[in-house]
Amino acid sequence: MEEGLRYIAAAFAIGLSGLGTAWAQSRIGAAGAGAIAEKPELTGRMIVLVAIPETIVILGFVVGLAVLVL
Amino acid sequence: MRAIDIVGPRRSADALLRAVHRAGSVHLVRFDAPRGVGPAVFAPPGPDPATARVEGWRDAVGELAAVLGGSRPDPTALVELWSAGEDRLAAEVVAAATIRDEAAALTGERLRLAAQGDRFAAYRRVIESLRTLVPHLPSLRGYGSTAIVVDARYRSAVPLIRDELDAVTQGRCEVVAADLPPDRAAAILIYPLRHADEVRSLLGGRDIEEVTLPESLAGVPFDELLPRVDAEADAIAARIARTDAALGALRARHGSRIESLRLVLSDRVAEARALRDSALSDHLVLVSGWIPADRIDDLRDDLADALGPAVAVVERSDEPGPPPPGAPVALANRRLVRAFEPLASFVTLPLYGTIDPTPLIALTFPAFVGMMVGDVGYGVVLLLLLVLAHHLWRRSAAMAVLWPVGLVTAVSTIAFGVLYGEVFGDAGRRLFGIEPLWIDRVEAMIPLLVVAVSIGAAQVALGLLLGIANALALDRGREAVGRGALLGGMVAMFVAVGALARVLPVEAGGLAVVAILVALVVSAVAIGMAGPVEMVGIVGNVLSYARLMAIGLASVMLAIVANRLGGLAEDVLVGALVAIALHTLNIGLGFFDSSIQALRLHYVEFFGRFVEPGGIPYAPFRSVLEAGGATAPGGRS
Repeated sequence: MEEGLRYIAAAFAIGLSGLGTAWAQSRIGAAGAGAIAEKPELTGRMIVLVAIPETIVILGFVVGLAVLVL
Repeated sequence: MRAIDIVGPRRSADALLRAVHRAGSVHLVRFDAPRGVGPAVFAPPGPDPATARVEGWRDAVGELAAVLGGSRPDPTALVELWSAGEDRLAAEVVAAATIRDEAAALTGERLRLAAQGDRFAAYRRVIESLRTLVPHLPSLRGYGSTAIVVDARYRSAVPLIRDELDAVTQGRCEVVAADLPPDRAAAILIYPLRHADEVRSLLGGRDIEEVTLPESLAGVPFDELLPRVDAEADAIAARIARTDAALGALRARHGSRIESLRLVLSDRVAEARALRDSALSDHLVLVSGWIPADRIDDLRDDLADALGPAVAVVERSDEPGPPPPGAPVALANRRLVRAFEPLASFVTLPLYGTIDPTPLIALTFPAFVGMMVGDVGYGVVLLLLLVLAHHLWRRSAAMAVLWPVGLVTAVSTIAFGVLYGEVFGDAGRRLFGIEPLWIDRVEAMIPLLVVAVSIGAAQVALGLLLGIANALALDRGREAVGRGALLGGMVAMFVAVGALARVLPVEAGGLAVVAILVALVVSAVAIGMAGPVEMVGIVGNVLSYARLMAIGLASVMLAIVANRLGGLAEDVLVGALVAIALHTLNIGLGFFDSSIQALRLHYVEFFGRFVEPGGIPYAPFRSVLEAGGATAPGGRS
């Protein structure tokens, strides 16, 4: 039972943080697409900006791993 | 970089600017009078009618160059025109005006013919769609026809038009209609010629497009129209080809010289504008700027050659304190590291007098990508692709950056692949028994996670140390103290975690908690409430480096999946194709995502701690002769 709960907790940690990242990236991506349409020279910078929220899912991954392993 | 003032006699102001322009090493700035020297002594020159005239010439020649388009400047003409006096340039501009008239006439003719060609293409489409109806048309003497086109939505209007036409012609009419793909319908109205005016007024004022044939086709029977339209279209195409040939000949004859003239006139305008930013007294002209220290002597020699001993280059003395605002930044790195300068300055150029992050990113960017991808096979594939790209696009500007950066990254990927014992995922191990030299990424997730976070802690700590150095260089004492407190707090946090994990003694944990509290207070006092918030941010920054392990794990897992799926197929060829497709996808995703993540770690987590944004790029006042690779008499190439 406890083992199962750990897996569920890890799944929640990474799943919800993944959703959070996806939501943030969707907002940044939409704004970025608009910005690139106006100024194509911003393409490189926007790609980096879209990668910024990935920290959320990385932290979720670390927490999930900690829940499973520690 | 040295701040300089170039002083010369006022009567030689134009020649002085030309010589500085030719030297191409001074980053000009608006003259800033020293303390105690008022505008009465050195004033910027007023508006100059000659400048407006040269700007007009440049715009007129620019229009002609755009019409002739795509010509490269002629180096010989560049040198000749660059050294020419204003009278000579005026004569060139007059000659260019004649060419412009000729070019304008040809371009106008080209546009007219193109429009005519479009009209005939439209006729052709209408005639084509109505042609099937022609056999049904009555062939009556004294009858005329009109073709009309309506939007497909209004096709139902055609029967109404027929009713009205019936009324006008007392039933002596015929209307045939057909669809005109994609969204229009066409119809031919046949009626006695004596009712032509009434038909025209019937159609007038409605949203109906009457297809009026050109005069040359008036009266031609409908069934003969198509060949005639084709013949006319061919004639127009031939005339367009002749006009294009004439324009091409004009371009070949004058294009290079006109482009050279445009560039030289642009230089003259730039010199006039530079003079506007300079200062003039009754007897002197004074031009201010910045120059790399090792080029001052060359500038002195160039100016002495051009203007004699009457011109002096005076270095402004270094004042104590932070570097002056407005000082331009020229990154100066060795060849291999120089290739990383665009990556280092991608978000912002560092302020003058602060630390250049290029050598650091040159070291850690390839290491991070290598650590994430970490596969001998993938590294070799990247290497082969780079060699191919370098062979194909050797002269491309992008290749000058991509080649060295990619090369170091590929080598790093291969090196980490050896450490992880990975060749196309676990294929090397399964086929050749290759074992990891250091760590098995799939088995040892936690140790690798600890390594990744430790690298993050080290890099963020280094960033804070460099941030302290930058703050001191910029004379920002409070910022330096704040960053010091953040660094101390960060170390204390790790000690506390060590104590909690029983790696360090409990007493050390107690001291660390006190140190964290002190760091929070000091950072709040030094840089305000942003201090404690940044302290929390540092934890996130350090943990963010977990992606070095996480992205790598995803990459190796996909490689293993590729091998397993390939192995599941019963046919060897199908299995190989599946594995190759998935590995190709993984290579593309792996290098792209790893590069983005590595850059992001640098820009956000590392550079954010020490790079002072807002550097002004060093943009020397350089003539087109430099760009064109031409050599002026007496000048350097």
